[in-house]
Amino acid sequence: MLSETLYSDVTMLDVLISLIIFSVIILIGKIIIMNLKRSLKDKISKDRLNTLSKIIYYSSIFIGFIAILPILRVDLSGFLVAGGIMAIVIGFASQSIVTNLISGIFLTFERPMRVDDVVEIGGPNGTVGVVEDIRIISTSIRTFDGVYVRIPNEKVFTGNISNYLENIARRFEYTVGIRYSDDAEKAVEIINQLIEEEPMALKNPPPQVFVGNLGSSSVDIQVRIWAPSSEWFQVRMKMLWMIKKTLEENGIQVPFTQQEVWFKNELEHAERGDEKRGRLD
Amino acid sequence: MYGSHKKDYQECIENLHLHFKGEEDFLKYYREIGEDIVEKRFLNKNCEIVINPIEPLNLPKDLASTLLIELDEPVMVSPRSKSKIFAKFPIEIGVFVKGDEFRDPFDIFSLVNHKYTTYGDIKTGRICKYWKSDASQKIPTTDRYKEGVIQVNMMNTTRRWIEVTNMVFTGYGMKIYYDENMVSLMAKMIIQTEDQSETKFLNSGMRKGMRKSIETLRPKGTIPMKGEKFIMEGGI
Repeated sequence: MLSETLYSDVTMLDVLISLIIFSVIILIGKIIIMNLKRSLKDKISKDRLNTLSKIIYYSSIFIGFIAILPILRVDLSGFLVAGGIMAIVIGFASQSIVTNLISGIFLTFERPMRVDDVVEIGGPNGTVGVVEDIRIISTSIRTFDGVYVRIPNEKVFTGNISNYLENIARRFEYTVGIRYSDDAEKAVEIINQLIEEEPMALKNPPPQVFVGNLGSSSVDIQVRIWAPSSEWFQVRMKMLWMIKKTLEENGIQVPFTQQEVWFKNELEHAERGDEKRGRLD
Repeated sequence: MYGSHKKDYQECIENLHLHFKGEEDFLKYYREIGEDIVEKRFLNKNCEIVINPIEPLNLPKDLASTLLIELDEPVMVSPRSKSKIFAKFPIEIGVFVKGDEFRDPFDIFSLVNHKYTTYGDIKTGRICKYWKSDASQKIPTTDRYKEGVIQVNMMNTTRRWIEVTNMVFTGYGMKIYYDENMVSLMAKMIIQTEDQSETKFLNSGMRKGMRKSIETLRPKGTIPMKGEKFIMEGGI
């Protein structure tokens, strides 16, 4: 049965041998990847290791494919003409795939983001989340509400990418309004003290706390704090509540919007008020 | 507190309450600092715990691998000279179970406040644990549960007077030693240019008879480590 000819002089045995050779080459590739992952796990970053693994994996498929062609009596020269025509057809058909592929290659070299970075892709209303994988054709993002989003690399490459973890620190800012009757200097001192006590509020770049505006209802204190990029959001949430709570504990309050109304004729208004009250009685 | 302890051990320092005692079939570890409480049960009744000062880079979060000591007042180092200064560094205390091959602490606490800072610019720099200290030429007195003493042997290889305000050390290969009175670190700082220097820890205690602490910070897979050097490129 194994010597049965399938086409030209290729037998079942040849096909079986080809399958074994292809599988062995793929297996060798996987063993190399496994060992590399084990030995380089702590030495190079996760995304570089992923890229390296993918290169080895696809290379082993290519080598395996080339290796079995002579056994299957496939003469590549015969494909030259047909291949040329096919290439044009496939080229048109797979235009977007090729664009994504090339974008993927450029993304790998330019490295505007890495696996585990927090990014926003596609401008202010784009996709925000953690980069899970940067593949050859697409990039996958895990949004903060747990949704898996696959974005074609062309869109990633041509769109705006904001990487929130690219720099080691990020700044956030509050405007804290206090009453005109409150002591602004004391408020600034309290806020500075809170920043000093918060470990994640960085010492350098230094924080800034100052009266930034004399508003219609409040004296506005501007607070600018730098925090490690990975902790930015937690510190921002925590500090705002701490500032509000501590200011109130010290008798300094955030005022409601106020408006003073002056009557043209106060006496007339008062008389009308008395009349109205009399009718009601 | 530092050293090896068997069951029924108790310690109270300021707001720290720590005890390790046998309860029926297990050993109970309890540690409290303010609202931070850690409780663990060990199923082996013959456990022994080891309490050590460790690299001050674990709390409040494993965020930095370098320690930046800012001097209260900058020191001026004369051209082509060798000198030494003493400064202080913060203490974090690690609690280990004796016999754990990987020697990772199961509890870490500290009696001091923590602060982080950046060294270098925000693009290429790094996040460091921050500590402010005065510099002196004599060994300062410290509370060994809060601060340790670092001796820095400075070598100015340049032909200019160099002003030193910051000293940055990597946590990898930090050789902490302790005895009944103090916790110590020995380091050297080679000033290479006006704004670049190299720092490195030395593997010895400041005094004779000091015991070496367990090193916890290490790249995975490489347990024994020589002192790693750190190149201060972002200014001294």
